[in-house]
Amino acid sequence: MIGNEIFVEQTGSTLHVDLGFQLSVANAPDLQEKLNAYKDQDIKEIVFDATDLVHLSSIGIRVFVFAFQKFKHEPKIVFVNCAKAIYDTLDIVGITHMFTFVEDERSQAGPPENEWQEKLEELKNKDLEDFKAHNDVVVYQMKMGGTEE
Amino acid sequence: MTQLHFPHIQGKTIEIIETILQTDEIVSLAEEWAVIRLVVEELVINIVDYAYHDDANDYLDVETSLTENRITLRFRDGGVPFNPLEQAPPDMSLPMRQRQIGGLGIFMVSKKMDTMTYEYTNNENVLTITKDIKH
Repeated sequence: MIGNEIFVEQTGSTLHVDLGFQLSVANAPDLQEKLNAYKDQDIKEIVFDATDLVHLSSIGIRVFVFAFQKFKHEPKIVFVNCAKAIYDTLDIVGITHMFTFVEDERSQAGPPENEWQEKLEELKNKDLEDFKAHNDVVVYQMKMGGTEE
Repeated sequence: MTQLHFPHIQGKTIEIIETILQTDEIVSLAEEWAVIRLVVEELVINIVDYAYHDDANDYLDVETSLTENRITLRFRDGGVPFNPLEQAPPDMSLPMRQRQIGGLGIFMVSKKMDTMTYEYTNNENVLTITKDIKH
């Protein structure tokens, strides 16, 4: 579960943030630290590109709330190409009204449902690679049995 | 069924999540996999960060089991008693600028899973969550 590194780019008074495939415990604290460096600047808009985002946990949501609450000049927060499952997660915690949701031409590529499943499979495969690279760090015991009665 | 025992969990959040996600029961999921990945992260963070005041004997046991129609995850720790079912949901009536930044994880788990039960027994927090599998 190595988080994709997320870069923040500034163009004038706009910040562009490509979220990649996950915003989780593995990368959200790093992103928040990067955004923190801009909070006192004259930022009028923050654009979160969620085109590839398939995993958003509460620690990731904190980053958005942080941007909303802590930026000095109350920037408009734009969410680009937000998948339905991600939107539903934001809706559960009652913060969708924080964002302006927009779509661009990339959201039209391919049947959405297939595209979503393909991205999840990619993430699942990546998890396996990360596990293989890390699994000597934790001492654990695994007992395998049959399926549940 | 798979049983995992993690001794000395402090600072091991990501490695513990990775290991749980590689159990056969979770890997074999299709549509429900994304939700399970999310709730595993939320619960492991909560236990590693808040369950133990003294980390000398900290541990986490996780059990995953799967039937045709349901996946069940059980989390067991020896930390301070904490009933997540009694945690107040976030106050959504508050203006965004007054909202708490934290405290969303357990609420999200309760919304994403079909059942969530808690007991404190033998000096352990035991949280059991289930998700029905769509066919």
